[in-house]
Amino acid sequence: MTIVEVQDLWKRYPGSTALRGVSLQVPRGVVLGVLGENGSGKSTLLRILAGVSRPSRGTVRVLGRDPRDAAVRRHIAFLPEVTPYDPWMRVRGLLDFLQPFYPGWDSRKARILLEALQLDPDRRIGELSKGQQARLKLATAFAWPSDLVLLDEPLGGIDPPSRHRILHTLFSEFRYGEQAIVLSTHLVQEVEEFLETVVFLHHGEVTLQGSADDLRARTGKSLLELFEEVVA
Amino acid sequence: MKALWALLRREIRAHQLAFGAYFALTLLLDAFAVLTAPENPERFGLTMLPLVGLLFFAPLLLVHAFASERRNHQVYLLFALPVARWQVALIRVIANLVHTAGILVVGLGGAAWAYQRGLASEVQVSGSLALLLALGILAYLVLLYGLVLGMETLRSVPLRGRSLWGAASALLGLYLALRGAAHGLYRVLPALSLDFTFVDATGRVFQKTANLQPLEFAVVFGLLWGALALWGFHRFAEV
Amino acid sequence: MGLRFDPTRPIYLQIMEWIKRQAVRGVLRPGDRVPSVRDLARELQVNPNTVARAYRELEREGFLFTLRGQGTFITRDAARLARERQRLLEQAVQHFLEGLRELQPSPEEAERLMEILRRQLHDDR
Repeated sequence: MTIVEVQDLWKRYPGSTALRGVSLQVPRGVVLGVLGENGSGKSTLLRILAGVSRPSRGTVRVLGRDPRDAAVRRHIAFLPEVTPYDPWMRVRGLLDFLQPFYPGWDSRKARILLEALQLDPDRRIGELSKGQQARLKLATAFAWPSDLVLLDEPLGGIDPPSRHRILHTLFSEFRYGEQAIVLSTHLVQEVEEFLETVVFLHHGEVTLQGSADDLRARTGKSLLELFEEVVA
Repeated sequence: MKALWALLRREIRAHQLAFGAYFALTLLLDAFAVLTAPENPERFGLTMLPLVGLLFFAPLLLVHAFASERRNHQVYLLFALPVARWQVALIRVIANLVHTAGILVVGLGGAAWAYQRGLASEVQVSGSLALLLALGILAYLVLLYGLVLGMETLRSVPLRGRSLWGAASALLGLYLALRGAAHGLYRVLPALSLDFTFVDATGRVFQKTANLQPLEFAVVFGLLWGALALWGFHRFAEV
Repeated sequence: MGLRFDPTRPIYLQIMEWIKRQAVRGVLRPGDRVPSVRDLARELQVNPNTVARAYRELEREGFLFTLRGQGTFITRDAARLARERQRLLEQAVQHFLEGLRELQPSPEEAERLMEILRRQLHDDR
């Protein structure tokens, strides 16, 4: 089953075009990497998938419906690049706040996630470091069985040695079996082993897409090398 | 339902500092007026100041709510939640009303206490003072909420010349239609008028008669304008 | 585990090769159960679907077989394993030769290298 279906997506802002005719599909349980440099349109794409922004043209369907429809957002976990939480809230307060919105929210698992990511439930969010905020976001994403997880630059703020370990822990330990994950980043090296399919974005356009292993077989290059070519 | 309640609690909590500041200001002015008014009856008017200021502050608090959430990025969370846009906007408005009500209570309470301390020897009111006040404040607030929501929506929808003209024309037509409707409403409802007699400590007599008709119009227009703004926000608002 | 992947080659192929090497070396014996997809993914730190693809391909090749409800196992077919062993040895020889050919050794050098090779392998045993 296809979780995400995007056809000929355009997004225009006054003065610039963020996305040009983007089309892609994400089947259930697949990890898709949206790779591009800053300004390539990755964040815009994820925001539109989350129902937070509107397309200018084209169709976007998540679980067969428009993500602008509030009901389908119960199955979508969206982590923007920034920290969208109230600084005065405590960590456990945030988890309590999110619980009634999402079906199947697992408080026990949420607490285990906090521990695994080394977060103190009693700290105020405003007092957390950037890396801790990034980890808090990740904790909220996997506390309930969403069908689609959208991660916009999830590694920002996390120190380099921890990045791989945290991603690996989340993807293998805490991820629900059939969750589709769309991950956008420009840190291609860190995510090479996790991505199954990739979409390379450059100036809002898809320049290359396909299964990661097939691209490697066809070109004999790593995703990082392909990324550098796209960006150049 | 539980989710909406959680959202409302969060909204009330999120902007309570701004509310608290105004609340404190209201208390101070009221206390000052009440304590010094027996010697200086003119100071009684100060108790009215927060109420008047409220009329400007309530919508400003709403503007502040939208602006700060954009600045601090909470808008990303609020728009990603499985809550319809119009519900998010409405809950914010309700939270604002809760704050507003708090200030109203203090403001009116101060005024009532001042009355009791003999600042006015005699007040005669006919008609429904409460209805007048409630309708007036409701109409005013809804009109301004609608304005704020409209502004928020316009942030997301950059209007170009043609659509601006179209929107203005539609609004003018709406205004005229509602004016007519309010006239009709006035005929249907029993004519409410308010006669207000106020005698202050020096013996001066003030007499006022308030006609309710413009108020009915304002309420009808306000509610429809508010509904339109809510729809616009629901349809167009984005990050 | 610490298996380092070559990011320029398909990861599922590298996983397949790793399993084959484990079997040929005797770390995994004929009929041994291989780790579950999830367990291996966790160990190798890769996406489980990549492991799943590797397992599927190995099953198609007849290197693995699955018993419903019990797991996935290395083939008991000794001939199949022997063929794989042969293939891997020849592959190693090919790599070795490629490295040598670049340097273009003379016949005398080649003789000497053969002697070193023979002695090294003998000592390793």
